[in-house]
Amino acid sequence: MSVTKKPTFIAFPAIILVALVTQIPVIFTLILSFFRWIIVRPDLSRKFVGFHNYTQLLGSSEFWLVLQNTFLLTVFSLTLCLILGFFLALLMYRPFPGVGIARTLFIAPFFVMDSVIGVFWKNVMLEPSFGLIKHICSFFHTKTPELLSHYPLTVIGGLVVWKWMPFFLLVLMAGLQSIPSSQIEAAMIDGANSWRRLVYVILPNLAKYIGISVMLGLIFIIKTFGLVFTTTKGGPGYNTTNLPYYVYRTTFLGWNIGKGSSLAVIMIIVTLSVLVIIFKKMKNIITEP
Amino acid sequence: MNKPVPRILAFTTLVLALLYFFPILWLFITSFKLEVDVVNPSLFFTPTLSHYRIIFQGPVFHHLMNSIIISTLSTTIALLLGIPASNAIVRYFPKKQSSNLFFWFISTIILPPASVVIPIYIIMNKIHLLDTYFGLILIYSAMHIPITVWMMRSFFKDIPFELVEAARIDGASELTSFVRIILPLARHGISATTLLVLIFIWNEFFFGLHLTNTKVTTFPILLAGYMSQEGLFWAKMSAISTIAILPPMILGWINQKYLVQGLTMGAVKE
Repeated sequence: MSVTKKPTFIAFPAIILVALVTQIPVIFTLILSFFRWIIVRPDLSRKFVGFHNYTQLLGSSEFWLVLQNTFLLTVFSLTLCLILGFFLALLMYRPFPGVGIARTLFIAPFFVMDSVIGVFWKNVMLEPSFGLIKHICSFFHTKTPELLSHYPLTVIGGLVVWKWMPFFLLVLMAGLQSIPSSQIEAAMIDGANSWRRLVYVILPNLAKYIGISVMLGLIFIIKTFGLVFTTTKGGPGYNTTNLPYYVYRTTFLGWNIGKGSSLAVIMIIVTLSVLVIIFKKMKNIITEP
Repeated sequence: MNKPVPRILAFTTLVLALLYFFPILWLFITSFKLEVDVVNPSLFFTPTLSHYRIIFQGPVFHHLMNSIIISTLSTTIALLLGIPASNAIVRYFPKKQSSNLFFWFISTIILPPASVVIPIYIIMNKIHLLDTYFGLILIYSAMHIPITVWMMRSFFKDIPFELVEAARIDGASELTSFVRIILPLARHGISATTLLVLIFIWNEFFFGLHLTNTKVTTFPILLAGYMSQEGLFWAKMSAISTIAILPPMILGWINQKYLVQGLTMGAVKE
Protein backbone atom coordinates (compact mmCIF):
# COMPACT_ATOMS: atom_id res chain seq x y z
CA MET A 1 0.00 0.00 0.00
CA SER A 2 1.32 3.41 -0.88
CA VAL A 3 2.64 5.39 2.03
CA THR A 4 2.87 8.65 0.18
CA LYS A 5 -0.69 9.98 0.05
CA LYS A 6 -2.83 9.04 2.97
CA PRO A 7 -5.61 11.57 3.19
CA THR A 8 -5.34 12.14 6.94
CA PHE A 9 -6.61 15.69 6.46
CA ILE A 10 -10.15 14.28 6.20
CA ALA A 11 -10.17 13.95 9.98
CA PHE A 12 -9.09 17.54 10.64
CA PRO A 13 -12.42 19.41 10.36
CA ALA A 14 -13.96 17.12 12.97
CA ILE A 15 -10.95 17.38 15.28
CA ILE A 16 -10.76 21.16 14.95
CA LEU A 17 -14.48 21.68 15.57
CA VAL A 18 -14.49 19.41 18.63
CA ALA A 19 -11.40 21.12 20.03
CA LEU A 20 -13.05 24.47 19.44
CA VAL A 21 -16.14 23.72 21.50
CA THR A 22 -14.54 21.55 24.20
CA GLN A 23 -10.83 22.22 24.76
CA ILE A 24 -10.82 25.98 24.38
CA PRO A 25 -13.80 26.45 26.73
CA VAL A 26 -12.10 24.24 29.33
CA ILE A 27 -9.01 26.44 29.28
CA PHE A 28 -11.20 29.56 29.36
CA THR A 29 -13.16 28.13 32.34
CA LEU A 30 -9.90 27.50 34.18
CA ILE A 31 -8.81 31.11 33.63
CA LEU A 32 -12.18 32.52 34.68
CA SER A 33 -12.10 30.48 37.87
CA PHE A 34 -9.24 32.66 39.15
CA PHE A 35 -11.18 35.86 38.67
CA ARG A 36 -13.76 37.73 40.68
CA TRP A 37 -16.51 38.44 38.17
CA ILE A 38 -20.04 38.93 39.42
CA ILE A 39 -22.25 40.32 36.69
CA VAL A 40 -24.94 41.60 39.06
CA ARG A 41 -22.35 43.51 41.07
CA PRO A 42 -20.84 45.97 38.57
CA ASP A 43 -19.43 47.92 41.52
CA LEU A 44 -16.94 45.09 42.15
CA SER A 45 -14.61 45.25 39.19
CA ARG A 46 -13.40 42.14 37.40
CA LYS A 47 -10.16 41.21 39.10
CA PHE A 48 -7.64 38.40 39.51
CA VAL A 49 -8.14 36.78 42.92
CA GLY A 50 -6.02 33.63 42.73
CA PHE A 51 -7.53 30.69 44.51
CA HIS A 52 -10.06 32.81 46.39
CA ASN A 53 -13.08 31.27 44.59
CA TYR A 54 -11.86 27.80 45.42
CA THR A 55 -11.15 28.44 49.09
CA GLN A 56 -14.51 30.16 49.43
CA LEU A 57 -16.24 27.13 47.87
CA LEU A 58 -14.39 24.52 49.87
CA GLY A 59 -15.19 26.45 53.04
CA SER A 60 -18.94 26.61 52.39
CA SER A 61 -21.28 23.96 53.74
CA GLU A 62 -23.41 24.20 50.57
CA PHE A 63 -20.61 22.90 48.43
CA TRP A 64 -20.13 19.80 50.56
CA LEU A 65 -23.86 19.18 50.61
CA VAL A 66 -23.93 19.44 46.81
CA LEU A 67 -21.00 17.07 46.51
CA GLN A 68 -22.72 14.63 48.83
CA ASN A 69 -25.96 14.89 46.82
CA THR A 70 -24.10 14.21 43.59
CA PHE A 71 -22.40 11.20 45.14
CA LEU A 72 -25.58 9.78 46.67
CA LEU A 73 -27.66 10.34 43.54
CA THR A 74 -25.09 8.73 41.28
CA VAL A 75 -24.24 5.75 43.47
CA PHE A 76 -27.86 5.07 44.43
CA SER A 77 -29.06 5.18 40.81
CA LEU A 78 -26.16 3.19 39.41
CA THR A 79 -26.55 0.43 41.99
CA LEU A 80 -30.28 0.14 41.52
CA CYS A 81 -29.97 0.23 37.72
CA LEU A 82 -27.41 -2.54 37.82
CA ILE A 83 -29.33 -4.80 40.21
CA LEU A 84 -32.70 -4.34 38.50
CA GLY A 85 -31.16 -4.54 35.05
CA PHE A 86 -29.33 -7.75 35.88
CA PHE A 87 -32.39 -9.34 37.47
CA LEU A 88 -34.59 -8.50 34.48
CA ALA A 89 -31.92 -9.55 32.00
CA LEU A 90 -31.83 -12.96 33.69
CA LEU A 91 -35.60 -13.18 33.24
CA MET A 92 -35.50 -12.14 29.62
CA TYR A 93 -32.40 -13.44 27.88
CA ARG A 94 -34.01 -16.71 26.89
CA PRO A 95 -36.75 -16.44 24.30
CA PHE A 96 -40.37 -16.95 25.30
CA PRO A 97 -43.61 -15.87 23.64
CA GLY A 98 -43.97 -12.15 24.26
CA VAL A 99 -40.34 -11.47 25.13
CA GLY A 100 -40.13 -8.99 22.27
CA ILE A 101 -43.11 -7.09 23.64
CA ALA A 102 -41.64 -7.11 27.15
CA ARG A 103 -38.33 -5.73 25.88
CA THR A 104 -40.07 -3.09 23.80
CA LEU A 105 -42.07 -1.94 26.82
CA PHE A 106 -39.05 -1.93 29.13
CA ILE A 107 -36.80 0.15 26.90
CA ALA A 108 -39.39 2.85 26.16
CA PRO A 109 -38.51 5.20 29.07
CA PHE A 110 -34.95 5.41 27.78
CA PHE A 111 -36.17 7.46 24.81
CA VAL A 112 -38.28 9.87 26.84
CA MET A 113 -36.76 13.33 27.26
CA ASP A 114 -35.83 14.43 30.78
CA SER A 115 -38.16 17.40 30.81
CA VAL A 116 -41.18 15.22 30.01
CA ILE A 117 -40.17 12.71 32.69
CA GLY A 118 -39.76 15.45 35.29
CA VAL A 119 -42.88 17.46 34.48
CA PHE A 120 -45.15 14.47 34.00
CA TRP A 121 -44.10 12.50 37.09
CA LYS A 122 -44.16 15.60 39.25
CA ASN A 123 -47.58 16.84 38.16
CA VAL A 124 -49.62 13.90 36.98
CA MET A 125 -48.21 10.88 38.79
CA LEU A 126 -46.92 12.08 42.16
CA GLU A 127 -48.93 15.27 42.81
CA PRO A 128 -50.38 14.53 46.29
CA SER A 129 -53.86 16.11 45.92
CA PHE A 130 -54.85 15.26 42.32
CA GLY A 131 -52.14 12.95 41.02
CA LEU A 132 -52.54 9.29 40.22
CA ILE A 133 -50.73 8.37 43.44
CA LYS A 134 -53.62 9.83 45.44
CA HIS A 135 -56.11 7.50 43.76
CA ILE A 136 -53.85 4.51 44.20
CA CYS A 137 -53.40 5.30 47.90
CA SER A 138 -57.09 5.86 48.52
CA PHE A 139 -57.78 2.52 46.83
CA PHE A 140 -55.57 0.88 49.45
CA HIS A 141 -56.96 3.18 52.15
CA THR A 142 -53.60 4.68 53.02
CA LYS A 143 -52.58 8.29 53.39
CA THR A 144 -51.06 9.85 50.27
CA PRO A 145 -47.34 10.44 50.86
CA GLU A 146 -45.90 13.74 49.68
CA LEU A 147 -43.02 11.98 48.03
CA LEU A 148 -41.48 14.88 46.17
CA SER A 149 -41.47 17.22 49.16
CA HIS A 150 -40.38 14.67 51.76
CA TYR A 151 -37.92 12.54 49.81
CA PRO A 152 -36.92 14.76 46.88
CA LEU A 153 -33.49 13.30 46.24
CA THR A 154 -34.81 9.74 46.38
CA VAL A 155 -37.57 10.60 43.90
CA ILE A 156 -35.08 12.14 41.48
CA GLY A 157 -32.93 9.03 41.91
CA GLY A 158 -35.96 6.90 41.16
CA LEU A 159 -36.63 8.83 37.94
CA VAL A 160 -32.99 8.45 36.92
CA VAL A 161 -33.35 4.70 37.48
CA TRP A 162 -36.60 4.58 35.50
CA LYS A 163 -34.87 6.20 32.55
CA TRP A 164 -31.47 4.44 32.71
CA MET A 165 -32.32 0.91 33.86
CA PRO A 166 -33.37 -0.05 30.28
CA PHE A 167 -29.86 0.76 29.10
CA PHE A 168 -28.39 -1.65 31.68
CA LEU A 169 -31.01 -4.24 30.76
CA LEU A 170 -30.13 -4.10 27.05
CA VAL A 171 -26.39 -4.32 27.57
CA LEU A 172 -26.62 -7.13 30.15
CA MET A 173 -29.07 -9.06 27.98
CA ALA A 174 -26.63 -8.87 25.09
CA GLY A 175 -23.97 -10.10 27.49
CA LEU A 176 -26.02 -13.06 28.67
CA GLN A 177 -26.87 -14.01 25.11
CA SER A 178 -23.20 -13.95 24.19
CA ILE A 179 -22.34 -16.69 26.70
CA PRO A 180 -21.85 -19.91 24.74
CA SER A 181 -24.62 -22.29 25.80
CA SER A 182 -22.08 -25.13 25.80
CA GLN A 183 -20.48 -23.60 28.88
CA ILE A 184 -23.74 -23.55 30.79
CA GLU A 185 -24.57 -27.02 29.54
CA ALA A 186 -21.22 -28.37 30.70
CA ALA A 187 -21.76 -26.85 34.12
CA MET A 188 -25.19 -28.47 34.28
CA ILE A 189 -23.83 -31.86 33.35
CA ASP A 190 -21.24 -31.43 36.08
CA GLY A 191 -24.14 -31.03 38.44
CA ALA A 192 -23.81 -27.32 39.19
CA ASN A 193 -27.04 -25.93 40.61
CA SER A 194 -28.43 -22.66 39.31
CA TRP A 195 -26.69 -20.60 42.01
CA ARG A 196 -23.29 -22.06 41.20
CA ARG A 197 -23.93 -21.63 37.48
CA LEU A 198 -24.66 -17.96 38.15
CA VAL A 199 -21.52 -17.39 40.20
CA TYR A 200 -19.01 -19.50 38.29
CA VAL A 201 -20.23 -19.36 34.70
CA ILE A 202 -22.52 -16.42 34.13
CA LEU A 203 -20.92 -13.66 36.25
CA PRO A 204 -17.33 -14.08 34.99
CA ASN A 205 -18.56 -14.02 31.40
CA LEU A 206 -20.63 -10.96 32.13
CA ALA A 207 -17.89 -8.93 33.84
CA LYS A 208 -17.00 -6.98 30.72
CA TYR A 209 -20.62 -6.05 30.05
CA ILE A 210 -21.19 -5.03 33.67
CA GLY A 211 -18.07 -2.86 33.49
CA ILE A 212 -19.17 -1.13 30.31
CA SER A 213 -22.71 -0.50 31.51
CA VAL A 214 -21.47 0.96 34.79
CA MET A 215 -18.93 3.18 33.10
CA LEU A 216 -21.27 4.57 30.46
CA GLY A 217 -24.10 4.81 32.99
CA LEU A 218 -21.80 6.83 35.24
CA ILE A 219 -20.79 9.18 32.44
CA PHE A 220 -24.41 10.01 31.72
CA ILE A 221 -25.91 9.90 35.22
CA ILE A 222 -23.30 12.21 36.73
CA LYS A 223 -24.51 14.86 34.23
CA THR A 224 -28.13 14.69 35.46
CA PHE A 225 -29.60 18.15 35.06
CA GLY A 226 -32.99 18.22 33.33
CA LEU A 227 -34.65 16.01 35.92
CA VAL A 228 -33.50 18.26 38.76
CA PHE A 229 -34.53 21.36 36.86
CA THR A 230 -38.06 20.14 36.14
CA THR A 231 -38.85 18.54 39.51
CA THR A 232 -37.30 20.45 42.41
CA LYS A 233 -35.12 23.19 40.92
CA GLY A 234 -32.45 21.98 43.33
CA GLY A 235 -34.55 22.71 46.41
CA PRO A 236 -35.67 22.76 49.14
CA GLY A 237 -32.58 24.78 49.99
CA TYR A 238 -29.70 22.92 48.42
CA ASN A 239 -31.10 19.49 49.23
CA THR A 240 -31.40 18.22 45.67
CA THR A 241 -28.75 20.38 44.00
CA ASN A 242 -26.08 18.29 42.29
CA LEU A 243 -22.88 19.58 40.70
CA PRO A 244 -24.25 20.39 37.21
CA TYR A 245 -27.24 22.15 38.74
CA TYR A 246 -25.00 24.03 41.19
CA VAL A 247 -22.97 25.37 38.26
CA TYR A 248 -26.22 26.56 36.66
CA ARG A 249 -27.50 28.09 39.90
CA THR A 250 -24.29 29.94 40.66
CA THR A 251 -23.58 31.15 37.15
CA PHE A 252 -26.94 31.72 35.52
CA LEU A 253 -29.15 32.50 38.51
CA GLY A 254 -26.54 34.10 40.78
CA TRP A 255 -24.48 35.49 37.85
CA ASN A 256 -21.27 34.79 39.73
CA ILE A 257 -19.06 33.82 36.81
CA GLY A 258 -15.87 33.32 38.83
CA LYS A 259 -17.42 31.04 41.44
CA GLY A 260 -19.37 29.12 38.78
CA SER A 261 -16.19 28.57 36.78
CA SER A 262 -14.26 27.26 39.77
CA LEU A 263 -17.17 24.87 40.41
CA ALA A 264 -16.99 23.75 36.80
CA VAL A 265 -13.27 23.07 37.21
CA ILE A 266 -13.93 21.06 40.37
CA MET A 267 -16.56 19.13 38.47
CA ILE A 268 -14.06 18.22 35.75
CA ILE A 269 -11.59 17.06 38.40
CA VAL A 270 -14.21 14.96 40.23
CA THR A 271 -15.58 13.38 37.05
CA LEU A 272 -12.18 12.66 35.59
CA SER A 273 -10.72 11.18 38.76
CA VAL A 274 -13.68 8.85 39.23
CA LEU A 275 -13.56 7.80 35.60
CA VAL A 276 -9.80 7.41 35.40
CA ILE A 277 -10.04 4.78 38.13
CA ILE A 278 -12.65 2.82 36.21
CA PHE A 279 -11.04 3.57 32.87
CA LYS A 280 -7.71 2.09 33.91
CA LYS A 281 -9.44 -1.22 34.36
CA MET A 282 -11.58 -0.80 31.28
CA LYS A 283 -9.19 0.65 28.71
CA ASN A 284 -8.04 -2.66 27.34
CA ILE A 285 -11.58 -3.94 27.02
CA ILE A 286 -12.86 -0.88 25.23
CA THR A 287 -10.05 -0.11 22.86
CA GLU A 288 -9.42 -3.68 21.78
CA PRO A 289 -11.55 -4.70 18.81
CA MET B 1 -29.83 -26.70 26.04
CA ASN B 2 -32.08 -23.69 26.68
CA LYS B 3 -34.91 -25.39 28.45
CA PRO B 4 -38.14 -23.47 27.97
CA VAL B 5 -38.84 -20.56 30.29
CA PRO B 6 -41.44 -21.55 32.88
CA ARG B 7 -44.79 -20.03 32.03
CA ILE B 8 -45.11 -18.30 35.38
CA LEU B 9 -41.79 -16.48 34.85
CA ALA B 10 -42.77 -15.40 31.37
CA PHE B 11 -46.07 -14.09 32.71
CA THR B 12 -44.40 -12.23 35.58
CA THR B 13 -41.96 -10.61 33.17
CA LEU B 14 -44.77 -9.37 30.96
CA VAL B 15 -46.67 -7.94 33.94
CA LEU B 16 -43.52 -6.18 35.16
CA ALA B 17 -42.93 -4.79 31.67
CA LEU B 18 -46.46 -3.43 31.54
CA LEU B 19 -46.06 -1.79 34.97
CA TYR B 20 -42.77 -0.28 33.88
CA PHE B 21 -44.35 1.16 30.76
CA PHE B 22 -47.52 2.25 32.54
CA PRO B 23 -46.53 5.93 33.17
CA ILE B 24 -46.02 6.41 29.43
CA LEU B 25 -49.35 4.74 28.71
CA TRP B 26 -50.95 7.03 31.28
CA LEU B 27 -49.41 10.02 29.51
CA PHE B 28 -50.99 8.88 26.22
CA ILE B 29 -54.38 8.32 27.88
CA THR B 30 -54.30 11.68 29.66
CA SER B 31 -53.62 13.44 26.37
CA PHE B 32 -57.02 12.30 25.04
CA LYS B 33 -58.99 13.51 28.07
CA LEU B 34 -60.85 16.75 28.53
CA GLU B 35 -59.24 18.91 31.19
CA VAL B 36 -62.22 18.27 33.51
CA ASP B 37 -61.73 14.50 33.30
CA VAL B 38 -58.02 14.59 33.99
CA VAL B 39 -58.10 14.43 37.79
CA ASN B 40 -60.53 11.49 37.61
CA PRO B 41 -58.53 8.30 37.11
CA SER B 42 -61.46 6.50 35.47
CA LEU B 43 -60.81 4.99 32.06
CA PHE B 44 -64.39 5.74 30.99
CA PHE B 45 -64.33 9.16 29.40
CA THR B 46 -65.15 10.68 26.05
CA PRO B 47 -61.86 10.84 24.19
CA THR B 48 -61.01 14.09 22.50
CA LEU B 49 -58.39 15.10 19.98
CA SER B 50 -58.79 18.76 20.78
CA HIS B 51 -55.46 19.04 22.59
CA TYR B 52 -53.59 17.82 19.56
CA ARG B 53 -54.92 20.79 17.61
CA ILE B 54 -52.72 23.03 19.73
CA ILE B 55 -49.66 21.41 18.21
CA PHE B 56 -50.43 23.10 14.93
CA GLN B 57 -51.01 26.48 16.43
CA GLY B 58 -48.75 29.44 17.07
CA PRO B 59 -45.98 29.01 19.62
CA VAL B 60 -46.12 25.23 20.08
CA PHE B 61 -45.84 24.64 16.34
CA HIS B 62 -42.98 27.13 16.19
CA HIS B 63 -41.05 25.21 18.87
CA LEU B 64 -41.80 21.87 17.24
CA MET B 65 -40.37 23.18 13.97
CA ASN B 66 -37.32 24.48 15.88
CA SER B 67 -36.74 21.01 17.29
CA ILE B 68 -37.14 19.36 13.88
CA ILE B 69 -34.87 21.84 12.06
CA ILE B 70 -32.18 21.92 14.73
CA SER B 71 -31.99 18.18 15.39
CA THR B 72 -31.97 17.11 11.73
CA LEU B 73 -29.43 19.74 10.65
CA SER B 74 -27.14 19.14 13.64
CA THR B 75 -27.27 15.38 13.16
CA THR B 76 -26.46 15.75 9.46
CA ILE B 77 -23.44 17.95 10.14
CA ALA B 78 -22.17 15.71 12.96
CA LEU B 79 -22.40 12.67 10.68
CA LEU B 80 -20.92 14.38 7.61
CA LEU B 81 -17.86 15.41 9.61
CA GLY B 82 -17.69 12.47 12.01
CA ILE B 83 -18.09 9.48 9.69
CA PRO B 84 -15.26 10.30 7.24
CA ALA B 85 -13.08 11.36 10.17
CA SER B 86 -13.67 8.05 11.92
CA ASN B 87 -12.79 6.10 8.79
CA ALA B 88 -9.69 8.20 8.22
CA ILE B 89 -8.50 7.65 11.78
CA VAL B 90 -9.03 3.89 11.46
CA ARG B 91 -7.29 3.62 8.10
CA TYR B 92 -4.80 6.39 7.51
CA PHE B 93 -3.26 7.21 10.87
CA PRO B 94 -0.38 5.24 12.41
CA LYS B 95 -1.66 2.79 15.02
CA LYS B 96 -0.45 4.66 18.10
CA GLN B 97 -1.71 8.02 16.88
CA SER B 98 -5.02 6.52 15.87
CA SER B 99 -5.57 4.98 19.29
CA ASN B 100 -4.67 8.27 21.00
CA LEU B 101 -7.07 10.21 18.80
CA PHE B 102 -9.93 7.88 19.64
CA PHE B 103 -9.06 8.17 23.29
CA TRP B 104 -9.11 11.94 22.99
CA PHE B 105 -12.56 11.83 21.41
CA ILE B 106 -13.99 9.69 24.18
CA SER B 107 -12.46 11.98 26.79
CA THR B 108 -14.53 14.82 25.35
CA ILE B 109 -17.66 12.70 25.72
CA ILE B 110 -16.87 12.35 29.42
CA LEU B 111 -16.46 16.11 29.83
CA PRO B 112 -19.52 17.42 31.72
CA PRO B 113 -21.41 20.06 29.69
CA ALA B 114 -21.61 22.18 32.82
CA SER B 115 -17.84 22.61 32.73
CA VAL B 116 -17.77 24.22 29.28
CA VAL B 117 -21.04 26.11 29.17
CA ILE B 118 -19.84 29.33 30.83
CA PRO B 119 -17.23 30.36 28.23
CA ILE B 120 -19.48 29.15 25.42
CA TYR B 121 -22.23 31.38 26.76
CA ILE B 122 -19.90 34.36 27.16
CA ILE B 123 -18.36 34.00 23.71
CA MET B 124 -21.69 33.41 21.98
CA ASN B 125 -23.12 36.41 23.78
CA LYS B 126 -20.21 38.55 22.52
CA ILE B 127 -20.58 37.49 18.88
CA HIS B 128 -24.39 37.53 19.02
CA LEU B 129 -24.94 33.83 18.51
CA LEU B 130 -27.17 33.27 21.55
CA ASP B 131 -30.71 32.28 20.62
CA THR B 132 -29.83 31.74 16.96
CA TYR B 133 -30.22 28.59 14.86
CA PHE B 134 -26.61 28.84 13.75
CA GLY B 135 -25.30 28.98 17.33
CA LEU B 136 -27.27 26.04 18.66
CA ILE B 137 -26.63 23.89 15.56
CA LEU B 138 -22.91 24.65 15.79
CA ILE B 139 -22.76 23.51 19.42
CA TYR B 140 -25.00 20.47 18.94
CA SER B 141 -23.18 19.16 15.88
CA ALA B 142 -19.76 19.70 17.42
CA MET B 143 -20.79 18.10 20.71
CA HIS B 144 -22.00 14.97 18.91
CA ILE B 145 -19.03 14.43 16.62
CA PRO B 146 -17.08 12.49 19.29
CA ILE B 147 -19.87 9.98 19.79
CA THR B 148 -20.21 9.57 16.00
CA VAL B 149 -16.48 9.02 15.57
CA TRP B 150 -16.36 6.56 18.46
CA MET B 151 -19.40 4.53 17.43
CA MET B 152 -18.43 4.27 13.76
CA ARG B 153 -14.95 3.11 14.70
CA SER B 154 -15.95 -0.46 15.52
CA PHE B 155 -17.97 -0.77 12.32
CA PHE B 156 -15.12 0.51 10.16
CA LYS B 157 -12.66 -1.80 11.90
CA ASP B 158 -14.87 -4.76 10.97
CA ILE B 159 -14.51 -4.13 7.24
CA PRO B 160 -11.89 -6.52 5.86
CA PHE B 161 -8.77 -4.72 4.81
CA GLU B 162 -8.45 -6.96 1.72
CA LEU B 163 -11.70 -5.64 0.25
CA VAL B 164 -10.49 -2.06 0.22
CA GLU B 165 -7.08 -3.12 -0.99
CA ALA B 166 -8.62 -5.10 -3.87
CA ALA B 167 -10.57 -2.03 -4.93
CA ARG B 168 -7.39 0.01 -4.86
CA ILE B 169 -5.64 -2.47 -7.12
CA ASP B 170 -8.58 -2.21 -9.50
CA GLY B 171 -7.80 1.47 -9.69
CA ALA B 172 -10.46 2.89 -7.38
CA SER B 173 -9.58 6.16 -5.67
CA GLU B 174 -9.84 6.59 -1.90
CA LEU B 175 -13.08 8.48 -2.35
CA THR B 176 -14.60 5.86 -4.65
CA SER B 177 -13.76 2.98 -2.35
CA PHE B 178 -15.09 4.94 0.63
CA VAL B 179 -18.40 5.67 -1.07
CA ARG B 180 -18.81 2.40 -2.99
CA ILE B 181 -17.37 -0.18 -0.59
CA ILE B 182 -16.87 1.11 2.93
CA LEU B 183 -20.09 3.08 3.42
CA PRO B 184 -22.44 0.32 2.19
CA LEU B 185 -20.72 -2.21 4.45
CA ALA B 186 -21.01 0.10 7.43
CA ARG B 187 -24.68 0.91 6.83
CA HIS B 188 -25.93 -0.73 10.04
CA GLY B 189 -23.45 1.31 11.99
CA ILE B 190 -24.52 4.45 10.18
CA SER B 191 -28.18 3.87 10.94
CA ALA B 192 -27.50 3.07 14.61
CA THR B 193 -25.33 6.18 14.92
CA THR B 194 -27.80 8.43 13.12
CA LEU B 195 -30.58 7.19 15.34
CA LEU B 196 -28.74 7.74 18.60
CA VAL B 197 -27.35 11.14 17.71
CA LEU B 198 -30.79 12.22 16.53
CA ILE B 199 -32.39 11.04 19.78
CA PHE B 200 -29.71 12.65 21.94
CA ILE B 201 -30.08 16.01 20.17
CA TRP B 202 -33.89 15.87 20.10
CA ASN B 203 -33.92 15.30 23.87
CA GLU B 204 -31.01 17.63 24.72
CA PHE B 205 -31.82 19.94 27.60
CA PHE B 206 -28.70 21.51 29.08
CA PHE B 207 -27.36 23.58 26.18
CA GLY B 208 -30.86 24.21 24.89
CA LEU B 209 -31.73 25.88 28.16
CA HIS B 210 -28.60 27.99 28.37
CA LEU B 211 -28.12 29.06 24.78
CA THR B 212 -31.68 29.91 23.76
CA ASN B 213 -34.10 32.49 24.96
CA THR B 214 -37.39 32.60 23.06
CA LYS B 215 -36.69 32.42 19.35
CA VAL B 216 -35.00 29.05 18.82
CA THR B 217 -36.22 27.34 21.99
CA THR B 218 -36.63 23.62 21.38
CA PHE B 219 -39.37 21.28 22.59
CA PRO B 220 -37.68 20.02 25.79
CA ILE B 221 -37.21 23.59 27.00
CA LEU B 222 -40.76 24.57 26.09
CA LEU B 223 -42.12 21.64 28.09
CA ALA B 224 -40.01 22.40 31.15
CA GLY B 225 -41.52 25.87 31.38
CA TYR B 226 -44.99 24.87 30.27
CA MET B 227 -46.54 24.00 33.61
CA SER B 228 -45.36 27.17 35.33
CA GLN B 229 -46.44 29.43 32.48
CA GLU B 230 -49.75 27.92 31.51
CA GLY B 231 -51.01 26.63 34.86
CA LEU B 232 -52.68 23.30 35.37
CA PHE B 233 -53.49 22.13 31.88
CA TRP B 234 -52.47 18.53 32.32
CA ALA B 235 -54.17 17.15 29.25
CA LYS B 236 -52.73 19.80 26.96
CA MET B 237 -49.31 19.23 28.49
CA SER B 238 -49.70 15.47 27.99
CA ALA B 239 -50.60 15.94 24.32
CA ILE B 240 -47.51 18.09 23.70
CA SER B 241 -45.39 15.57 25.64
CA THR B 242 -46.76 12.72 23.54
CA ILE B 243 -45.71 14.49 20.36
CA ALA B 244 -42.31 15.14 21.93
CA ILE B 245 -41.59 11.55 22.95
CA LEU B 246 -43.16 9.57 20.11
CA PRO B 247 -40.55 10.22 17.39
CA PRO B 248 -37.53 9.01 19.41
CA MET B 249 -39.52 6.10 20.84
CA ILE B 250 -40.63 4.83 17.44
CA LEU B 251 -37.15 5.28 15.99
CA GLY B 252 -35.70 3.43 18.96
CA TRP B 253 -38.17 0.60 18.76
CA ILE B 254 -37.57 0.07 15.05
CA ASN B 255 -33.82 -0.05 15.56
CA GLN B 256 -33.73 -2.21 18.69
CA LYS B 257 -31.42 -4.66 16.97
CA TYR B 258 -28.52 -2.26 16.56
CA LEU B 259 -29.22 -0.35 19.70
CA VAL B 260 -26.88 -2.26 21.98
CA GLN B 261 -23.89 -1.90 19.75
CA GLY B 262 -24.81 1.71 19.28
CA LEU B 263 -25.35 2.43 22.95
CA THR B 264 -22.14 0.83 24.05
CA MET B 265 -20.44 2.79 21.28
CA GLY B 266 -19.34 -0.42 19.69
CA ALA B 267 -17.45 -1.52 22.76
CA VAL B 268 -19.57 -4.65 23.00
CA LYS B 269 -20.60 -6.67 20.00
CA GLU B 270 -23.70 -8.77 19.90
